[in-house]
Amino acid sequence: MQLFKSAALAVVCAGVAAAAASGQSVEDILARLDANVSYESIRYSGRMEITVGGETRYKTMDVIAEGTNKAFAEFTNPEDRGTRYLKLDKNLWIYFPKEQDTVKISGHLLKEGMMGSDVSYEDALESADYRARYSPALKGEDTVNGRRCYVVELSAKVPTASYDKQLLWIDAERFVRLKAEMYAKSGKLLKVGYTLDVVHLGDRWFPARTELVSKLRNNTKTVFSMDRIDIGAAVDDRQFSLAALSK
Amino acid sequence: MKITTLAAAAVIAGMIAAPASAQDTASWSLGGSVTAQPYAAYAGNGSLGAADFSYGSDTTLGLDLRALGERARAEASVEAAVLTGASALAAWAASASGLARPDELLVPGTAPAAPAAETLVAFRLRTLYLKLDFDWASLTAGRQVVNYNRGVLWSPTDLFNELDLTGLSPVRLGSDALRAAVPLGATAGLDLVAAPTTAPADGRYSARLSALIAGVDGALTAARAGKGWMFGADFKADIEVGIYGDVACSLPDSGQAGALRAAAGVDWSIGDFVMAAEYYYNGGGAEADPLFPGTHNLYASLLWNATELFSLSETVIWDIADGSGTALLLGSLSAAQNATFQAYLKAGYDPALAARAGVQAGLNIEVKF
Repeated sequence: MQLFKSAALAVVCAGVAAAAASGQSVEDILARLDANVSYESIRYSGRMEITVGGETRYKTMDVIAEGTNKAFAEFTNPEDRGTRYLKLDKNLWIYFPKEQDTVKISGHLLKEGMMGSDVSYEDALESADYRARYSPALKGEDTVNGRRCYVVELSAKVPTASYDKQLLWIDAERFVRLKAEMYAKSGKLLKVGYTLDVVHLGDRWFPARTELVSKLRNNTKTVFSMDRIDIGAAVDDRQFSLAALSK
Repeated sequence: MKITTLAAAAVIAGMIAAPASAQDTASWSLGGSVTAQPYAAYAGNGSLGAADFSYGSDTTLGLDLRALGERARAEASVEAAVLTGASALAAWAASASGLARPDELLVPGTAPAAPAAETLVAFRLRTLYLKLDFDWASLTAGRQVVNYNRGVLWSPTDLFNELDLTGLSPVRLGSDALRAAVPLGATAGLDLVAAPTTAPADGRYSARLSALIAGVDGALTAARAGKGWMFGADFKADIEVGIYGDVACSLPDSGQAGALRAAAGVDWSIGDFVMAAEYYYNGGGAEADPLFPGTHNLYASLLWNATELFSLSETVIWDIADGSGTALLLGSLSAAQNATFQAYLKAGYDPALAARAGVQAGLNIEVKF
């Protein structure tokens, strides 16, 4: 056991030393990660594949977002066609077309799976700006799918952070998150996320296909794919209003 | 001319000729669902005679047609149903009662003299409206659901909706109305609605001001409803759990004492369990709310999301004063893409009826396209 701890410590030290040697502080690493996934505005078509055991259901949607606090999504698959989501800061509303009803989602429900997926409303709402919400610590280096990664531990520094702790495996070359582990305050592992596909958009690398696995349930996972990604898309601010939700 | 007729003409016009500026972005879609709901029911006081049992089914095709331009939207939602057994008899009875509401099931012809004809085809026009969006307001005309509800079941200020409780979840029925919604910023707005009747003085007319203030969604409503006024307020907020409240005071022109109705609810979740409870005070009796005439009423629900594809829920509605109530146990399974399979057991008790207790077991299979 002692040998294992020593070996682990050696790996961590080696990783930290390697990062330091390459001139990358953990703040730099996180800044470059944030730069890749932050945007003024974005428009894309999304597809969510929810798998439970051997059964898979899909949902499709059109999404438009401005910064990290405004987002608007409309589902387009037959089962949920016309259902819309509006996010303004930490507030979330859902519009149900058949009932022509707009409902504000209660705070406690933000931890529930969105549309039956492993992605919680909170996951969907959380800003990509890690530095604003977490204190980082470089834990070493590791390899994910053959790619060298920095392992960064994030500790929540604001109460609005979705998770108390996260471990990120950040591609050392492209500065994209390739793997993430999300932990509860108790230290229990809640979810594991993987990036399945990274695309090059302009001068940035962007995770276009990700997988989220809930560790609280057996045999479930959600794969989220983004298509027709338009970063910097023209956005009408009136899109992010309750009036637009029922338009 | 009825508003529905006007709306139909407007919808068709809207579909044919979207605004010139919107020609490039105009689109339309057709979706819908097919549902089949067979069930068996028992109503009696312990006897097991053939008359105590009934069977029925409801197979419905629903179509939703939507045309969308940049500044105009037209929607029509229609249903055609084949009803058998007890469902057909219930539809005949409702049709014959003369208590038709705007989107009542339309049963062609007249009821058969004998209850032997237990199959019929019925139709329903759920919604049919045209909506015009301008930068400063939106205008909607036709049959629409004007939804002011905060509660799952009870919302006293929600004066344009009638509840349909015959299904597995409460459905709010549409109204023939004209509506103008004026946004006041991103999360506030003024809503003006008119639902006139043949005698305009008997119609319902309302103004509602809503806003999100410090994380609380709130609204004030003033309305002219029939031969009186109604003033109401409602809100929804979060304090670890979700809480909401809704109060309405009706003041008749006759000078008689007004009626106060109020509802308050809470929802919360623990892990995979989501719970909700609602209390409803009806100070106006059957005149104010024919569906829930009791003074004190309770609603409670417990939902267990066992997996992403399967959930189990229990719902109870209880009139505290007379002890009547219903309970519904419902299992829902996402059986395939766009297909849901549900099984339920519904029990009711009413001390005022000869057959005080009733039990219904059934299935609901729905495929959307």
